[in-house]
Amino acid sequence: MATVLLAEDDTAIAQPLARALEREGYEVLVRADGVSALHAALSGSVDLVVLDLGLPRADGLEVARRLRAAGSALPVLMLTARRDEVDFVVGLDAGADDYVGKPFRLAELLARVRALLRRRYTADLAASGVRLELTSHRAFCDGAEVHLTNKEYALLRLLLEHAGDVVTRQEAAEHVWGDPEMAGSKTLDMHISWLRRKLGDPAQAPRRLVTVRGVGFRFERGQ
Amino acid sequence: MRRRILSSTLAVVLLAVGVVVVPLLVAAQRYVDGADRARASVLVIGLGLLAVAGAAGVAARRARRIVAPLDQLAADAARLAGGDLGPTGRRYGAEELDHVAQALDSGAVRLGELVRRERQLAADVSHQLRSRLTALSMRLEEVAAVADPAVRAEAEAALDQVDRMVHIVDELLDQARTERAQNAVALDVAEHLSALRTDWDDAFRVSGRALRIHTPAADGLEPSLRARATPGHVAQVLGVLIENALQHGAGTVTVAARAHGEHVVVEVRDEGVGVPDPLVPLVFDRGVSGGDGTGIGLAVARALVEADSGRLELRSARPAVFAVYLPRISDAEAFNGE
Repeated sequence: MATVLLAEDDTAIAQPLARALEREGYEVLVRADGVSALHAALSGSVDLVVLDLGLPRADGLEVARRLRAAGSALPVLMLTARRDEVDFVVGLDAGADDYVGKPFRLAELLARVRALLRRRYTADLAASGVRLELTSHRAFCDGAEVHLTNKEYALLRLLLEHAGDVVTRQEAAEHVWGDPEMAGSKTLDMHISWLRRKLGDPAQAPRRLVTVRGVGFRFERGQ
Repeated sequence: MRRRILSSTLAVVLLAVGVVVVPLLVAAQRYVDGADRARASVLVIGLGLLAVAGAAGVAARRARRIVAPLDQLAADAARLAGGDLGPTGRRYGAEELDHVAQALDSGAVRLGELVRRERQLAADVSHQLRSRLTALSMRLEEVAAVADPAVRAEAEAALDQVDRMVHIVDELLDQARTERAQNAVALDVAEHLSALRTDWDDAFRVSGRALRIHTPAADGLEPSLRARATPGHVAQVLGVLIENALQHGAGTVTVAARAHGEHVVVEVRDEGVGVPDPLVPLVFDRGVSGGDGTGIGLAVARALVEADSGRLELRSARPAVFAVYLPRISDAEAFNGE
């Protein structure tokens, strides 16, 4: 079974969270400061880190940076009370793979842990010459890097995860914007058209990102 | 101001010239005869005019010398009003002016400290509330996991209350953020960076170092670097970072800007050994860096960026790379006239 390193200095959070992770069947290792967390993460006996941002001695961002600087590809789930979009970006830039804002529901956190552990073995998503590098949050089209906004990236990732199948407008709205109301909005169509432009897909006769009239969109699997 | 000095000087000179010239003219009328009388009158009037013209010239020069430092003070005050909270350290050698300059400087320092404290308080409140709510909600979830349906229903209801409280905290912080960022305007970061060169050329020449400014080509293919920020804040923060690289770093200092999704990221790096490990968690603490009377220090710089909903991070310790994240105005938003 996988071992989860829980780096959290607040025992009122670390205790119930460790119990929840253990109930899921993970081996749990708790560390209460950045330096010992980094040490444990680099020991090689850990499969995933749940990393609190506000750690003493070295904060979560610094731990993630040093972990990546040491060449580790260990999945890192950042946990933080700072929940602004910009904190998300800073966290990912520091080397985190995913980000959960406090407070969170356990079910959500556990789902992300599962997804990250699964993703370890499938670090890339690809179809029709478009590739997403999930660990580094980068997108490539025919080998050249394409710069995407967070929403575009999330949308493309959803489409690629279901390459060959239809993603309904509702699914896209809920997954990307967390708001089913967005299904009927122009914003979704604008993001689709920006994605097409960035991926060099002609709007009139798209080869990659196809509109399925009245239902949603489909990313072609390609050759 | 300049006109007032000029006109009052001229008035005094005209009066003095009048006092001398009129009696002289009267005396010439009375005591000089024939052709000499006309010549004497012309001479007296000519000398009078010459005196006035000379006085006007001197007055204009004096006025300029008196007003120049006042213009500088006014410019500094305007910068302060625009959010640039760096004390200038400028003194003029005139007691009254130096008092004003000193008052401006200490006002700037106090304002910077206020912004920092306000940010610190908001961050602490947010962190404490969210941490306690997290601990509470996780324990309630454990209670909700027991089999008894009545207990579970109660725990679920309590969890709903936690969610509502989280929502309230979010809204309050959002509100505070909007109020804080009210001086933020659309700002072309690329333009801002090219203006840095004139400010810093001398300092770099003196220290024998080089400043490199890198922005993506403005060819319409690259995403624009328009951010929503307070111009004074951005100027001040970049100033602190460059000064810091100049003082503590080595080699070429590179300032590079790029679009990064919904943000503009400006990185300032140098080629020195970087920040030693024990100092890394402390660089943004108050009193650890900068703040030597001419700068505001990294603690206030970070608060200024956060006041514009941005972030200031030490992205790499060795070599030292500081990154400023600013909210980017997307190309579509700019196209629609925001």
